[in-house]
Amino acid sequence: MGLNGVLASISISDGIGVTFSAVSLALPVTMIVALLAALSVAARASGAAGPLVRSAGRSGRAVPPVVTGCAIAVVALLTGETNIAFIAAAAMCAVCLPGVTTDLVEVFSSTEARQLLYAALAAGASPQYVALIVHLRASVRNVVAIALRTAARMSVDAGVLVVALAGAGTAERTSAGVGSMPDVSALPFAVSQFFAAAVAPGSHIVLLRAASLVVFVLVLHAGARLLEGEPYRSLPAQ
Amino acid sequence: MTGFGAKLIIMAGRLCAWLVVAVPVAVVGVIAFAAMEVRDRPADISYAAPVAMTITIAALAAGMGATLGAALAFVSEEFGWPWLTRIARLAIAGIRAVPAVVLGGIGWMIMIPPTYGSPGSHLAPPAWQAVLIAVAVLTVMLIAPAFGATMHALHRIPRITRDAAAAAGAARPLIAAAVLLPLVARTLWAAMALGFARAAAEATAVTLIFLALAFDQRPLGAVVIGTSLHGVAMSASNETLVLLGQASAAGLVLIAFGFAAVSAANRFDRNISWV
Repeated sequence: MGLNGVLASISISDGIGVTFSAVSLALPVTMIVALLAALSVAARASGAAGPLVRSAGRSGRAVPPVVTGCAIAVVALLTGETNIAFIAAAAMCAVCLPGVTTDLVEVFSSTEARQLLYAALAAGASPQYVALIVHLRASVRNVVAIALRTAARMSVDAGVLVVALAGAGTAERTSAGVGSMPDVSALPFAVSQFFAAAVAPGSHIVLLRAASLVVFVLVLHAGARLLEGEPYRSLPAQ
Repeated sequence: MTGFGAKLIIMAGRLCAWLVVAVPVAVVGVIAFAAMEVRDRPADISYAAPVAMTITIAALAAGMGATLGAALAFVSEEFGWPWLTRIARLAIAGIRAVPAVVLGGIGWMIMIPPTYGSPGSHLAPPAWQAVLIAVAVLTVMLIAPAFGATMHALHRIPRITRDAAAAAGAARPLIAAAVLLPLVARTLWAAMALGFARAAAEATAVTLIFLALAFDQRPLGAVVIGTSLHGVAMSASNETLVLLGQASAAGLVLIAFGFAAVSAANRFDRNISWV
């Protein structure tokens, strides 16, 4: 069965469940690992890894999402993993982790955060208290804003998922001994949107799904903007 | 005295920091492994043309996107028109919210031949049209980060610089062109380099746009490198390990482009804000 046949029955809500499962798995893992790494770097407790974490964020820009997806697909194929939500979550984590960590390091290394840190240390606070309470409490709005932006990116980034799930699809087909296409409607929202847009870009459902993606990202970005304030500070009147 | 809980948190932090460092390295390692696995098998397609096309499209989009983003930042920030500032920031927020899959879909819709849906009667759009729309779509994607990078660079310039130029009698356009532009020039070059990396790596939007050429039975993977990687997912073949290995070779080329561009950007402006 070709893509046309598979996509004939796609609806507006197809893929939401898988996307929700994958993001609910990937987002907490990414944020917890990034938070611990960033707190460790900001407190200068990470040793040799500190400068490397900062450069990992810059180097992460050099590794395209589609290539990361390819690596995940290779791993999925070699391990025989066929759980779509799990593979999608792994791909989301791999793509977002370096960037999110660098963003959090920037937040925790800001002048305001450092002033609070030094004040707490001068008052005799323990490193545990400094890391968990001072840094997090002072930057909680920025941390939530970064989490919202990461959730938006995870939910709509088709570049990494399309290729990553190719490995899962092949492993599944190989184990089942069939050569048919995977069920596109069971794929994450952005991936099925990619296939649907490739086959029937002008159809009503595809346009509705595209509009819903834009609205979803807008809402999450607006929430992040509300939390962290104006990203471009205006200069005073000249 | 550091307690057990604090030690545990510090150790977990160190472990997570190394995990973050290991992720890009592991990706490159897996890609290299997959490429090595199929090194003796002749590739189904040549990557010379995709590499050339990727460089062309990415360079054009990076140049135009960075220039437009910087121009928008200058006009909205340095000319004292609050209404224009508000409109520019709203437009940038809107552009930022459009995912690549939607941008590609829009480009695809522009490319749709009038006879789409009538098998045997359609004419494929010319290749230059797909290239043009791909450049336009990538340019739109790069405007927002270039705008943000230029704004942050402008905010790093001390206010006294503007005041000194104004005291010497320079008007706002002259201050922007003769004083501020040279000061943010290195950021602009860095934005172009990072824009090149992002444009070369963008697969979703470009794949959708170049799908229009598939009407003419042209091989999908022979257009740009990112598209050839997406072609693996579209192929639905049981030989995907081989295809993935061949795609991984293309991925290594993309990574090389990316590292070259990021290194160049770091030399121009290490503190560039690029999101």
